[in-house]
Amino acid sequence: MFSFLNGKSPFDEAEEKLEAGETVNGRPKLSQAPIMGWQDGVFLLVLVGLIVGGYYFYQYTKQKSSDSFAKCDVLYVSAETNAEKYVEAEACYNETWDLSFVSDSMEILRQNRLGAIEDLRNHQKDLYADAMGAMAARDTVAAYKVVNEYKGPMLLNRGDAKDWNNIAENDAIKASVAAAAARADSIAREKAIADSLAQVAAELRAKAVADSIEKANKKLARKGKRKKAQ
Amino acid sequence: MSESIVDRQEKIRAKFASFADPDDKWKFLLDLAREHKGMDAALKAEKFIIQGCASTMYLVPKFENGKIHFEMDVEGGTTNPLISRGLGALALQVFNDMAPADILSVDPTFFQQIGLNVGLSPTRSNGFASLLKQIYLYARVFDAISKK
Repeated sequence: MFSFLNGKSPFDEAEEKLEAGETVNGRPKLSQAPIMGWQDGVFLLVLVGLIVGGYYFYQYTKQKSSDSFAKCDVLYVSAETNAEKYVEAEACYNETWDLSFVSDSMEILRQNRLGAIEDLRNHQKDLYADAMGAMAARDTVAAYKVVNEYKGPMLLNRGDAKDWNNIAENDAIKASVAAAAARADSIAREKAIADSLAQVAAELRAKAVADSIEKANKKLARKGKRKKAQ
Repeated sequence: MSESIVDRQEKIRAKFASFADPDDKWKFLLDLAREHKGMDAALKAEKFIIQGCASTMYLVPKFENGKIHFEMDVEGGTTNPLISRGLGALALQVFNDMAPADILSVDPTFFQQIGLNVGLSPTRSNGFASLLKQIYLYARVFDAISKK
């Protein structure tokens, strides 16, 4: 008969071992096997590697994010005294969109600060519209005034910024503004002279009236004395 | 029975009243934004853009069974306008899937009353006001249609 067990049953093998004295405390000695195979060892090593690597990667991305946000924070805070820094702060916060770790507090800060910069930009856009409106109405003096009274950062896009700077730096506009200022000065001077002349005239008139009243009073007094004497 | 628009307002009012820290409001809006599902790109037509918003906000209405269903999404170019999206999602928590008359019954100052505008940048405040205006406008239009 064909058999994979070479004609032996598993019990026969155990009995043979027992007879050969392979016993521990009277029981058959169990065969010695390693705790785990090499494949299991490799798997475990890979698993531990992934966990440790993942933890360090998480720590690294966290650190990278807090460093980036700290850099942006410095720029934003310094922008409160130097408005030009708002542009750098905005660029800095925009670079943080690629970061893989952003906590809620970082997100709130980013959203609110970018929102605040957007508000400044919208304010400048409104002024830009006013200035361009004045230019369209050929009121270069008003346009120049709008542009030059603005002390905030330049947040307009390149094309609008060019128009803005043209108004601020254009020599012809500066000349017309200077001429308007000179005209305003001379008008103011003339007005001041006219005002002072009017004041003198008014004072003279008042003095003349006072004199005539005094004269009339004296005349009346003299008349009164004469009547008493008669 | 579905929730009434008054119940929805009260729930939101209670939520805002529970905020102990000013950041809680922003966290809430961020969560709403993250939970909010966008809309099909095919629906993003120019006619659905809310005018007056700094970000590009789409609001698409659909009038069905006497109620208005809104789809909303916000795009910010290179940025992620989470606060704007959160504001939009908050508005929809009140107005979505409601009858036009219910929408029109809501006091427009409700969001101010709960303190939403506190600390909100002027640009976002204006954008949110534009969104509300558009919702009321759609409600008025669909109200008129439903009464015909």
